[in-house]
Amino acid sequence: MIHINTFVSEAAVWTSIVEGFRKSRVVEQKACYLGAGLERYYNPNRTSSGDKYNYAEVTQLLAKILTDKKELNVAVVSLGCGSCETDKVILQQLHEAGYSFSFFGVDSSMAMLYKACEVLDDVTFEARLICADFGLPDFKEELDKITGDCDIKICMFFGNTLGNLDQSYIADILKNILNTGDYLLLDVSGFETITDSIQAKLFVRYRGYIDNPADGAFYLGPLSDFNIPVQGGKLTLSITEDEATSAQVFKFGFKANNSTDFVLDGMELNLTPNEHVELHHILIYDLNKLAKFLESKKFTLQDKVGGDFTTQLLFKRH
Amino acid sequence: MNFSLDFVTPSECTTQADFELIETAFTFAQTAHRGQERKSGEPYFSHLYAVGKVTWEKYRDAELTAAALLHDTVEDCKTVERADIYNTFGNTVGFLVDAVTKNYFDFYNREEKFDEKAERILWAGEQDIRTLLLKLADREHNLSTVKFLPPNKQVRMSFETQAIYEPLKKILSYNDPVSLRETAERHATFTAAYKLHTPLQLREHLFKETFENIDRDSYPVVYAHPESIVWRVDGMKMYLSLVYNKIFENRIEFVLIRATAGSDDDVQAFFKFKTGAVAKDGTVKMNLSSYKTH
Repeated sequence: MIHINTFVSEAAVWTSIVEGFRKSRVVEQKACYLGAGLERYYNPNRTSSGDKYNYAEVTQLLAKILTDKKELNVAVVSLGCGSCETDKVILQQLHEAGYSFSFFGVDSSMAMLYKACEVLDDVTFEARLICADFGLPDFKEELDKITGDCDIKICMFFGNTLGNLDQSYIADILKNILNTGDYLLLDVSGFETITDSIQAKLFVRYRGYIDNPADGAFYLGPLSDFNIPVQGGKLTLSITEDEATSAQVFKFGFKANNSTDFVLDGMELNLTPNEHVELHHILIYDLNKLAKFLESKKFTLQDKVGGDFTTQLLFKRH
Repeated sequence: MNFSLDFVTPSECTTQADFELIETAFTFAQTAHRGQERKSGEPYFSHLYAVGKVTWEKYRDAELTAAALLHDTVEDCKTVERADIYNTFGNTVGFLVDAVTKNYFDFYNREEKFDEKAERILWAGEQDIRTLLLKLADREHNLSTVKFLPPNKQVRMSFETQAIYEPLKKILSYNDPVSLRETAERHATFTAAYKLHTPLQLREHLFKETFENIDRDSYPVVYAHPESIVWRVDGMKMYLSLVYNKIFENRIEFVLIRATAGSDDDVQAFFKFKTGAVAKDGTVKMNLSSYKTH
């Protein structure tokens, strides 16, 4: 039986998301994964549900660190762990190969964590789940308490989760969470260099998302949860460049056709005609620029595996 | 400086009325523009004189030449309205002037409305080929003094010329003029051959063709500040044709690409040219195969 520690309630996360939306018409990405978002995320008709994942190389990358740190207690912390399906495959392989570590899965969606409990039910390694918003400043303190017995931490972001957050902000949070000698494993989508033709191919791919009903339902999910009649508008897609990392930012949004009234948490609100709501971002990185950016935040690139769109980068906090 | 109507004589006109039309337009425009100067410091009327002269020399058409003399009166003279031109010079001259007058999205006493200038003028060209000939003459003379404009306007005018008017010149054989009837036939044959049923289709075709020819075509204009101009192409096909055209590889930079669910026509790509350069002869080239460093 996996235990879930609660640093923050899902209700509190929801309240902060609603507050942010009211102020700026931006929906924080974590809103997509709360409550009914789980079902929308795992809809097999979503385009990305067919993407394949190369577990072996990531496992080897982690094995290298764990081999070097055999005498130490290692905390493997998966940030934005979701249902832990990727974590499970990799960590179970490592554990069966004789490596020891403690696993901490962190997510702000209780629905995801309940599913993670089911997923991790049969693992043989030590696993704990934490409902928390790792973007909040007091997360470090809470995490330190729970990982107090561990000598080093390996923080992991799987599934391009790093791109869900403001890049400078999350880099500072990570710098704070991790101590000198700790590791950061990033699983990101990216290329050594993003040419115009790569950008165009990505644009065509993500352009397809906004016409796919299952993808549309996932991105528009939070608006439905806000009681906004999404049939009164259209999904939009735009590409810009992230200032901090120079990543290509594929922004999914919603444009209301007409004036739209709705009631959110008891408050009467309105979207004006053509008002735009930011929904979800996917970041595609220029890997060299990402490494340079993280170097400026005290993370040195140690190793890199994968390639051809999905890449895993291992950084050490200095 | 005083200008006189010295490029046309009554004997060269088909009728006395034709000569009188040109003469009246000449006087009307000279009066309307009195006191105005071009950016180059010359009297404004010098431009109208030049455009009038070249249209007469190429096509010997009184209405076209009258319109050429009058073409900036509505745009640049506070005292002149579109109705004045229609009422004084008739519907044909009025329409020609109307077609090349900026800041209108419609035509006087007509229902058609247009989202953009190029589409409007191309539509007018379908109604009367002389609107395009007037525009080409106007643009050709404006380009000869483009260096007096602010850099961003120079680039805008240059790109528009390259993308729309250079291809049109070829289609209409403007540099080696033929009769008005044959010019109109060339236009009709071209649009029929490529199944260009709307001005928008024609504009897109011309724009696309210019991407193919841009390396070969002359670009005798100043191109000093490409970073100040953001260009836009509409539609997924246009965007992809820009991306996969070798000519533009590494030479443009996309600043924003966007789409709306439901239609590829809604795709919009905004881009800049990375650099341009001043050539030794004082002209400035686009950063294409004709690239020259400072």
